Amino acid sequence: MAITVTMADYRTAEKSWWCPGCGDFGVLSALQKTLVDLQRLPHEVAIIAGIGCSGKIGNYINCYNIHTTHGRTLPVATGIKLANRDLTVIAAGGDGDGYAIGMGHFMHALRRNVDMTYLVMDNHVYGLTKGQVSPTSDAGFITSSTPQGNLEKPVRPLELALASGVGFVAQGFSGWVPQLIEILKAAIEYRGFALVNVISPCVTYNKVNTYDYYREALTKVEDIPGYDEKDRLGALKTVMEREGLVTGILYREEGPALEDLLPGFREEPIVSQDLRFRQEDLKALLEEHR
Amino acid sequence: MSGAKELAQIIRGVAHDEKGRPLPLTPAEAMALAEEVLETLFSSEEWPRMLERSGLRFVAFLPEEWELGSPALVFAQQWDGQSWVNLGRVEVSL
Repeated sequence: MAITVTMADYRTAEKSWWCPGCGDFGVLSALQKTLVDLQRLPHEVAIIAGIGCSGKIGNYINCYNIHTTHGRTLPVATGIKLANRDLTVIAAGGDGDGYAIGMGHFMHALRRNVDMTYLVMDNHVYGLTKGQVSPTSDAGFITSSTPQGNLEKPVRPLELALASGVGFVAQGFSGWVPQLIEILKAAIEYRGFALVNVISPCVTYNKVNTYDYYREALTKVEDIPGYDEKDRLGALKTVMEREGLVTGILYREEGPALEDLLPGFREEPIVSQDLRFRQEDLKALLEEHR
Repeated sequence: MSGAKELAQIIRGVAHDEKGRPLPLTPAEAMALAEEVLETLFSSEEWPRMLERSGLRFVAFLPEEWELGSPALVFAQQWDGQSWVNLGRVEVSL
């Protein structure tokens, strides 16, 4: 008899650590609903979460979870996927974890194209450490670390991803959960690296980038006449012209993932292989180098 | 809707106007405001259920939305100049 996965299967008894109204609640419920809709069993899913408020997401979903070191979600997720390609691997974190300390890994994960989803909860501020400027904070944004306004320009993850050649780039908004569910479904089913940047308002330390602000400012790509998700240059132009204030699947191009191209990458996942090193193998190796 | 009385107690004494001046409310006014807040929050289809009134912010969760086993809840918050601070929360029977 086939097992039916329900929302209850993806709940945990962990008490919520997030602030009331935090955008990450929307991301959490969207991700749980996505996994139920896709009928993935909890033991088939691994969430690798970074440091920050959003890094708690793995604690609230009943599946494999590693709360890894700051900025290192992507290399850990890469290792897990290459060891066990049968797992649905989701790396998750915030804009600080991914676009500051983790930026080096982000750029290389984009071009490496391992089959996984990277879910970034982008709130434009460091919430966990009580409201300092983050890499995606707007210029002029006033925080406790920038009392006279942010003097730096924000990192633009969508433009970086589109320019890197990655095959799936999307942006969601945690206030629009139904659209986010559709984005996450497509990202998880995509064969290759899928970036899903989610605008996820910080309701405690960010009085500028609020739900009301985004509901007014954001445009869904399906509402843009003639928008073609297969047109990389068009996607880049749209994102730049609209200063990143678009949601939906911005770009999607089918193609092989890294695993499909790796020479000698055996059909069987490493976790299923017999990796015991036998005495006779050792003797043969020593003999070869005698 | 239960919970209005407890919410009114939180609201009284901390409500303020648009310029940040204290807004003294009678018990009846605080109760009316609390009832309006609860009605508006729980009839909203939007997520998150959040609204600002009289210098305060209110955030509502349906049962189980906040955490496993939780009843419906409303948080009352106040801006302290740098962040939104929780003043308290009340359980609501819908």
